[in-house]
Amino acid sequence: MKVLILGSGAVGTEIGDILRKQKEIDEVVMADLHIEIANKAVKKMESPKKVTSTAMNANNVEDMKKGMKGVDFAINATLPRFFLKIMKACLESGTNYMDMATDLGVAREQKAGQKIDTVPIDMQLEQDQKWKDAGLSALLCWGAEPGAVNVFTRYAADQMDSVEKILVRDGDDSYIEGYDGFVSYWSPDTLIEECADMDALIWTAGHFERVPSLSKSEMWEFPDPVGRIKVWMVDHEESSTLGRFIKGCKECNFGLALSDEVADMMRMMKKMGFVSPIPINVKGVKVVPRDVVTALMPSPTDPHLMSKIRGSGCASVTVIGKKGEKRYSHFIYNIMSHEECWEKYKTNATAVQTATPPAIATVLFARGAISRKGVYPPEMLEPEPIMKAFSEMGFPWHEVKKEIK
Amino acid sequence: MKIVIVGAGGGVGSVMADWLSRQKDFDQIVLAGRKKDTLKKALDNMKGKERGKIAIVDANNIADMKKCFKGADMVVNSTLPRYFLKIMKASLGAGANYIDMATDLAVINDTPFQKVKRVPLDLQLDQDKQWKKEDLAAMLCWGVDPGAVNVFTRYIADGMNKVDEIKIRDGDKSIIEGFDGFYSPWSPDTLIEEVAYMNSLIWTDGHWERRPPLTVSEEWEFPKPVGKMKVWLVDHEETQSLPRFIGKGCKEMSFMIHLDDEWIEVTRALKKVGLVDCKPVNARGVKVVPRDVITACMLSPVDPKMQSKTKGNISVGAAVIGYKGDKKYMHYIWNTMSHQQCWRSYKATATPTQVAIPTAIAVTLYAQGKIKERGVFPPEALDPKPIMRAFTKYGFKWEQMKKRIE
Repeated sequence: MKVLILGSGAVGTEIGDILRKQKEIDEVVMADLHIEIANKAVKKMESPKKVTSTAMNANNVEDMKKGMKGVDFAINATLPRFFLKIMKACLESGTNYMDMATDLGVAREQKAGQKIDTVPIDMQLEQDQKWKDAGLSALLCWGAEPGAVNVFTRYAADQMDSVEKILVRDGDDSYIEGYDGFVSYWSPDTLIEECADMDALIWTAGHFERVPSLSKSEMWEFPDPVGRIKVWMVDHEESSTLGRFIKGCKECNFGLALSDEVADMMRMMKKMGFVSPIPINVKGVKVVPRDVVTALMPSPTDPHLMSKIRGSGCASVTVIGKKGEKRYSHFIYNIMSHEECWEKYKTNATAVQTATPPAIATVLFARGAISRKGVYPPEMLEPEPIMKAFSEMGFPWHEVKKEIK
Repeated sequence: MKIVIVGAGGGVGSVMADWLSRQKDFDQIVLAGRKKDTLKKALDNMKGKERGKIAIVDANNIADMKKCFKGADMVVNSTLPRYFLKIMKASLGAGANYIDMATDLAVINDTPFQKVKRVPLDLQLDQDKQWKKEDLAAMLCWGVDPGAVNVFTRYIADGMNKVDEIKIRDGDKSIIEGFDGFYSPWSPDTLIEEVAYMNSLIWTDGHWERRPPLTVSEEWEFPKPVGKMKVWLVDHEETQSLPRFIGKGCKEMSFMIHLDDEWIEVTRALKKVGLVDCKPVNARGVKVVPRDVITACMLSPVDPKMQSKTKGNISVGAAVIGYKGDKKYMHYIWNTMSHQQCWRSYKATATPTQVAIPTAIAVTLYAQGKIKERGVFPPEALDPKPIMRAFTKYGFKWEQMKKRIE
């Protein structure tokens, strides 16, 4: 199988690096708007047999269609705003598709307190029939969160008769030695969008609502060594699919660990207008304020910083529901240490956590173990074989299931 | 007498133009600047509008300015500090006297906690001889702080035989009705520069040092109606000139200003992200100075919607601790202005008004031949008594308090 990876950032590079080692994958093409970034990704891989690089503009459907000739499977590791164009190029060139997020920002006008009928991922999901007709698959939201946690959720839900709550929680206790600035372990643009710019989508009482950005937090008990830390409700993909697709679920929301300092900082920047994606006039030049902030932030691929992260990241979900008369809380998680990831993969745990599940799903697709056509999120698939593949292929998971009142 | 105000479209420049146009000493007041629309607004706001005239000039272009300054008796520099040296050069070249209200703090930024030998103001003071040779005056750092407070300090120090400490304190206790965003009552660029960007200059143990931004604060009892507020050490001009021009053994001097807690947090956050920097970055293909984006995101200090709704008072003053004979005193002189009253009189808040009026008074005294000094000098180099009298005469009220310290 020939795989094209669009976007050679931290996650794209890591996916490429995992895939090139798999016997099911014949060829990996690293693509980026800037060829030097794609080249850098290839250079980072040891003995990069099977891997080539190319320049590709994710904003240009025709350009991408040309580059997709002969490609079986395209993995979208770009920024969410390019998703629909990439899907279009795939569908028109007969290429299967996978991504790790959706374009949350299209719902920017949806504010807390308004009634919500549609969510951003619907723009992708409603193409289901077209993809089925073309005999193609579009695998949506396959990272760790969203992604692996969706599979975890389905796995836990399958053991219950009814599900009440799905609580996706992302914990990270890390710091960077000798660095005190504002940093994101994933796309700074996405961090700012989901935490500060967007009011957070939640599934509550069986329908969608939004809560004001950075207004709701709670303490959450993560497994050691992360421990008990504060998580903030932020806008995330899981809330837009899991609640409606998992039987009878009434509540689903996503909590992300952020220090009070970073939360304050983002709130402040929002108040000043710095998180906005709308261009403003700066001394006669049109500038997107958020682009200035992200231009000032270090890259999540910066080796000087990434090699000095101390701590671990935990991607988790807690599913609460009933089996017979008994009520359970089923907690499933993956935990990775930033130091170990740096040693093994020369990148941070967040990138490894996000890159491993889609790489595994790609291999399962190549093997024919994932064969469903159409457009769908991870929880639509039978979870057992995927959970097994996670364990075997470098994405270990653990679970704690207990009866609760 | 003919005056050119460079930057006349800004908050301070437009109040100054209006104020000067009410005096009989000036035949022509040229409102110079980059943007015609703001200059037009300033012109329309002048009581003696018939003596006003607009000139488009770029404060970055010396030749352009020289042409504009020809025939002027005095150039009032009401632009951003980064243009100061160019404007001085053009004034000297055109044979015009010069006055400003600040200095370019950002030209030197030393490491904190080390002895500082040279300060930005020296770049201007060094030109003293040249200006004397041309028989011209360059009057530096007028305004209120720096400016009026320098005169206050000299006035107090003249009554003491030994000075221990000079404290310049600036407290604005105000609210803007119905507004919850961020608003700077003076140039946001200058605010960020002096509060967040520069290590703050302090005079301690008889020499200069710097402290990291926003690390030194204290509670200060401002005269009523302002009252007790927290003040922060920030980088400011007074510290560069007062200790050495006052002398008398002055060992300590600090400039502290009240900043509300939220502003402090915002500023810290902006600094952490790097948004206070003035080095251009590439934002997806667009070259942009981060600090310019802050300014663009913020409302203009001259926004009438904000100015008209600002309520409260500002107190700016100098407290000097020293000896008269064997007795130790604290002598405190201040000016308080009400935002609402200033709005009614000048269509501006107290912030630009407080800066514009002492400067305009100094320009008037110069026009009347009451300031005769030549060369380059700060306000405290002049005999303070006639200036303090002029302050009172022209409605820039000052009050004082003197108490024994055991």
